[in-house]
Amino acid sequence: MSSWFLLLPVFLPLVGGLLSYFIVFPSDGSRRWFYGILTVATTALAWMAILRCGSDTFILLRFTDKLTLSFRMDGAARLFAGLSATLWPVTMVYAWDYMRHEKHLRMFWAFFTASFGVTLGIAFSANMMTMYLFYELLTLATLPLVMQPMTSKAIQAGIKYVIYSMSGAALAFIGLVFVIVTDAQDFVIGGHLAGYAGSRTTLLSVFALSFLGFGVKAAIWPLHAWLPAAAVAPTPVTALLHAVAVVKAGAFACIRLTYYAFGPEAVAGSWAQELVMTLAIFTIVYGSSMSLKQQHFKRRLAYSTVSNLSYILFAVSIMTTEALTASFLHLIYHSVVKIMAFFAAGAVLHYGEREYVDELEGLGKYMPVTFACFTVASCALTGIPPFNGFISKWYIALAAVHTYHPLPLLGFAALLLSALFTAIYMFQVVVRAWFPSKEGILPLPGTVREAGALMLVPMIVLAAACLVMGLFPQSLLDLIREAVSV
Amino acid sequence: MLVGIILLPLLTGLLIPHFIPGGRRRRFCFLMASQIVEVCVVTAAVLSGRDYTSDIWRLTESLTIALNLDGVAAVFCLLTVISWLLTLLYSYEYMQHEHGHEANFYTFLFISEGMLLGTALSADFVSMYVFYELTSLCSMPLVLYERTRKAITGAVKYLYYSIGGAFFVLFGLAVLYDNTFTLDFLPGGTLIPGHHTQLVLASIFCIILGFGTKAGMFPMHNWLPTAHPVAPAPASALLSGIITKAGVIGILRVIYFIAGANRLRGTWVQTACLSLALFTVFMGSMMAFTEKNFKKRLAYSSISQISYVLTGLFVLSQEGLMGSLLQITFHAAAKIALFYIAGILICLAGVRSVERFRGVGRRLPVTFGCFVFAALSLVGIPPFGGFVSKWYISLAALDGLPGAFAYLAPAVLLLSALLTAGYLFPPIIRGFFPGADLPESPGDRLREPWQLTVPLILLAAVCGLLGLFPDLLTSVMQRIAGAVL
Amino acid sequence: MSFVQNFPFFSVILSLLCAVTSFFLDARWAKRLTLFLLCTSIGLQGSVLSFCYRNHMSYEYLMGHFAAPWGNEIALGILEPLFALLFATVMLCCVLGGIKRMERDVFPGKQSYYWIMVDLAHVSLLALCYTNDIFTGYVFIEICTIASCALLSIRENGRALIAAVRYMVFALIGSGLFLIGVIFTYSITGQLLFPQLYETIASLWEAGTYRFSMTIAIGLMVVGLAIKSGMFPFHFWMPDTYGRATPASSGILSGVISKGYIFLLIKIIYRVVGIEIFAASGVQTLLLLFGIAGMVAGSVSAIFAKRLTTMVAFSSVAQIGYIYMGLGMGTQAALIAVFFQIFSHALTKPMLFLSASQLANVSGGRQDFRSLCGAGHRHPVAGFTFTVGALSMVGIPLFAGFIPKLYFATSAFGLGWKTWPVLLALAVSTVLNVMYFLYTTILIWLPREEGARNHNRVMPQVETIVPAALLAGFNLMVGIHSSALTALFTQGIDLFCQ
Repeated sequence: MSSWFLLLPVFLPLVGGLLSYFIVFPSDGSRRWFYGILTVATTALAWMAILRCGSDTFILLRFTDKLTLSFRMDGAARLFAGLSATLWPVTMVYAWDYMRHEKHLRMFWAFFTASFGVTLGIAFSANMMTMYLFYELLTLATLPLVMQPMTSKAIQAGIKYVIYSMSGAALAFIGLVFVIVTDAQDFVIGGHLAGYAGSRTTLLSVFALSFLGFGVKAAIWPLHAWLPAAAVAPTPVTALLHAVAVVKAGAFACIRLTYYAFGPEAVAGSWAQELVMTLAIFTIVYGSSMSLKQQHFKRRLAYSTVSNLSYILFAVSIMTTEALTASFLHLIYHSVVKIMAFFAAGAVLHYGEREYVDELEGLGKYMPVTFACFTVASCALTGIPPFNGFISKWYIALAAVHTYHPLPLLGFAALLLSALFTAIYMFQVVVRAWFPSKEGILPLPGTVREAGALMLVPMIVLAAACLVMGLFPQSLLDLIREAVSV
Repeated sequence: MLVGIILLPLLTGLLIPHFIPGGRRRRFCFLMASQIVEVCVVTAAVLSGRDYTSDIWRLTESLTIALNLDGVAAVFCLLTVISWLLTLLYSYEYMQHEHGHEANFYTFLFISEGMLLGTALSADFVSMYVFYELTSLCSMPLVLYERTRKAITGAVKYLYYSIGGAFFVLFGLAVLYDNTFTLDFLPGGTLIPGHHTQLVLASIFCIILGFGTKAGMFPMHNWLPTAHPVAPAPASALLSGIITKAGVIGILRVIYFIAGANRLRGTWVQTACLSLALFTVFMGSMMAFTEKNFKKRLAYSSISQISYVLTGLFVLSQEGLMGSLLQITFHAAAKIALFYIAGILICLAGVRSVERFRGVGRRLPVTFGCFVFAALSLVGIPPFGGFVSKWYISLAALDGLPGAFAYLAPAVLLLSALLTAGYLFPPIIRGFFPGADLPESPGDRLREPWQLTVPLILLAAVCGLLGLFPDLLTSVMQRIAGAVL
Repeated sequence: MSFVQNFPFFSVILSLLCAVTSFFLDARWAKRLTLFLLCTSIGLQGSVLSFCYRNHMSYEYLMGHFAAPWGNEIALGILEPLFALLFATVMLCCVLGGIKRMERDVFPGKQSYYWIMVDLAHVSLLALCYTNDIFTGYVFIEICTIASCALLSIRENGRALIAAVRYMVFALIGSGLFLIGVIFTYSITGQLLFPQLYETIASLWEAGTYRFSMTIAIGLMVVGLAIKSGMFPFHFWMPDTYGRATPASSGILSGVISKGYIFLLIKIIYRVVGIEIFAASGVQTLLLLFGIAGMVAGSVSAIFAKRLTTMVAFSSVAQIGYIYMGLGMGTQAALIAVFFQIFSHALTKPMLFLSASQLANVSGGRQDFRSLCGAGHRHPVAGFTFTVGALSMVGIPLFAGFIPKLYFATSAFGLGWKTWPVLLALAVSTVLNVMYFLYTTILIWLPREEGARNHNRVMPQVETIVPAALLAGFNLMVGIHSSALTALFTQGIDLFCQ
């Protein structure tokens, strides 16, 4: 199948989503049908492309003879697109229930669908220019979603989000220009700049700045503050965008920058690598410690995301093929786990009307399935076998250890410290929910209901996926290994 | 076959407490039956002498779950299933005095047993890590049974310490993955010689610290005194007696089956571990001496006694290993008995603190009789069992340790024994001989239900008999230790 | 000599004629005449442009039959008609878009003067583009100043008048300094026409005589034009001026007239002084530094602005700063970036002013940010064009504003010490732009319930939609198909700098 096919899953939801803003739906049901068909069609197209598309490049637009807007399917694109395409319909089902009683639904659904297309656009980008364009569009497409409740807190969160993201893009822009100038902008595994003959300081400084720039979306310290603020958005948004689409797009962009544009050989062993690795390590510990202090349930999970994203960035900064495999593994696993955790938090918010961790005493009895899934998420996030979190941590650990350098080993230790913190802040909720203290305030019977089927089914599916991925990791591992060598 | 040994308690725990109708007694009968079957199966497997192995699951090319029944595993499994049997009987009566969800208690009790057996039977490091984590996770709910704030805090502390320890182990595991020929447990070790020696040594030390968390070794011992007083007595008994030994078995496996005793002998790792273990021996006894809450005193005592085992392990000789295996057995017997006694005191006499022991001995004569046996064994007075194990450990230390340690170790062990006597004998004496100046009459003789006392008597008997006639046991342990080194 | 080559001359004469005729007509007919003039001018410049492009030629055209140094001539290749075309188009859109507002703002009796001034402004821009004589340049600068002041003060609103007077003062200072520079140059070299000036200056510089005076002269000319186009730190007249005028005038002034001065400046740098001498004199570095300062200072002031049009005006300061930074970089690649920036800003800024005024209209005529909440829902077309303008200013790809940013950054590499200041300035400026432009865009699209005032939805009229939409369309076209323009610029520069 030729590469022009890649345009379909990108532009169908993008254009369809934006145009659907103007459609007035007669009923809830018709709206669900419309968006359901649109999203599922996009997923189907995306998967068809993943499975069948060849690896030729399709040029959509030419800015100049060197600068083009092009799309191409390669291994990394398969992984990221597959992840997004699978998780979007799941979230949509969840959102059908969750968003029922919210306002500004037209805006939500329009931009929700449009963001799908933009995320796929990031996945399918063949060069840095295209990825940069879709990166900027992602900020714009997700901005209305962050502000969706339209309370003053939400608006402030949105403004913070846009300022941080655009600042990141401004830094990443320097990297974009550099790879254009050095003819390094097409994505090829191993990058182009290994043999760069010009000033090494310039190369490294540009790399560090662009990594930071793309890292803003991946919530690297000190540019992470937008993520906890964005926890005021409705849960489907926080779950999907801030566990999957936006933040993983940031991590994906960092991967593309390091391994496919610059190339690990160009940067490995330099001060830029150490700087980036140090920031990632710091974020790992910082995110987890902040989670410990957070009493707001979703914000606790948001800081947990900050920390886990830096697991990926840490792996990226190790700059070996093994590390690349590990980072993709964690990218995929963490998305599944975190989205499920956010779903559970959202169900508690919606059906239990509780936002804070100290109000969760004894809820396990009334919302058993929700909390069972949350327990699975806790085990997976902490890294308890046989769930998938253990596998990805293991491979990151191996990649770090095999460098036999002090900084990656320190990073590994930091990762374990963070995992301990994760255990503490996740299991605090689990224990409180399932084993309420006699002296605690229990919910009155009848005030708390179990979540509806539309919310439960996605959660159960994801929990099962965690277990399955933990028990049968080999196939995904092989897939990733194959993907990163092509 | 080996999978069955693990699966049986697992399924029992999941199904029986929740799905068997008809009341407590009926449920209990089913549980008991299951456990008896388990004991029989394990004994048969051990006695048959065949070498059972099974590969359960292949996660990735580097991570597999496999089981193997060797000498060490046999000791541990037998200890586990027998203790579980006795405790099951004990808890039937004991839990009537507690308030809570009894069904959940039995669920987690049996699941923990399954996971613990898995830890013992693991054929390689990764499998052991998996089962170890699951053991910690599944045994945590046992501690918070009473659902008071303190109980929950204690349980959660236990969980976090265990997970923290597990992560120490994971650090070492990841380093060792590249520096060993295989992560399977092979006697004599599997280290690749000359590969990143210092890093490997450091990682082994990390692993020992990590497993040492479960085993209550300083500096990671702090969860024990918090968790034991709040857990119900049967849970405390098993926690101290068996579950902490999961940490011990971890250390054992790492030292003798991954690193190899020869590799570690004379290194800084051995010195550091010995120092920590000896310090813990002393510190535990010291803290027990000053503690007034009986269960907490027993907890500190466990910390001390388990570090006897660790000392024996760190001597890195066949004698030391043999001594450790003996100490595991005898400590389990004595400590479980002591916790049974503590439980009886709490639920029948309402006594938690040592200060209120006066005259209770008269009211609970059978109990206190067994108390005497267990205490004598724990202190290490011949001809009780504890003496045998401590003797072998001291001997191994004198023979096998270099320089100052050779004398320091037995000295510390002796001192600790004195302290042990100091914290165990006075309560007994006070119990039987309250003194003439007691303000009120202690009370009448209490009824001691057979479900509570029979396990107690059996354990006391073990302490006594196996101390008098240790040869069978010592020869078995010697053979096992010989196979390892 | 093809007939087409006369077109520039025709357009100049036509404009002057229209200006004079409008004096005797009433407002309605004057308006129609001006519109006719602008459309014709577009056609004429377009034809000249395509002629020069197809034949890849530049030529000089004697005005009158007097030879140098007394005679007057114009010179053009590809760039001059291109920019003249741009200016005419943008003026047309501005005028069309702002007609309704202007007819409301201006006293009916005075309206015909407005059209005269538009014609005069147009002719001066044509002259600035085409002239090959430095004194003619000065003359038309003055005509332009007078026209601009009139365009500004025609509103007769108190603050607008004050702003117009301030503008006049600054502008006259600028023209005065320019004149002094011209006089110095003339007295040193004895020439007025560009080619001859170029040769004379080059030889003088070689010889080493009059170097200091030459530098002063160049400096004076540059500063004069800089004041008039609003380079930092001479920009203080801009915010109030643009902010208070009627939108058509703001658009014309910010979008077109300031660019006309800049284009003349570029011509002087490349065709009179010569780029090597310019670089050697140190003025180039000064332009770079002031440009960067302007980028940052303009945006910072915009963040703190209290009114919408004031904010847009400060944004102009920043955008002009980009241009001066580019001129300060001095390479050909940077020059292409400068041209793109001129194009992009000329297309975008008037559109922003037009939309801003329409948004204010539907918010009770108020321009503070609280009243503007939700204005986009009240006037969707204005909201849409404002969003396009904002995104272009921030520099999102696919919009016109991205291209100059890209070219500035690309040309920054390899410039030695200048590389990192330029790159960092671009990054910082983008961030600052986000802070006020995207903030405002979010504000205008907030849902209706949050708005401070509730006004009826205004049905947009065709006259206001079409120009703004046209400009938005051009913006997107430039953003997406910039290669055509790049080709034009590259070829044009070849012809420009022989």
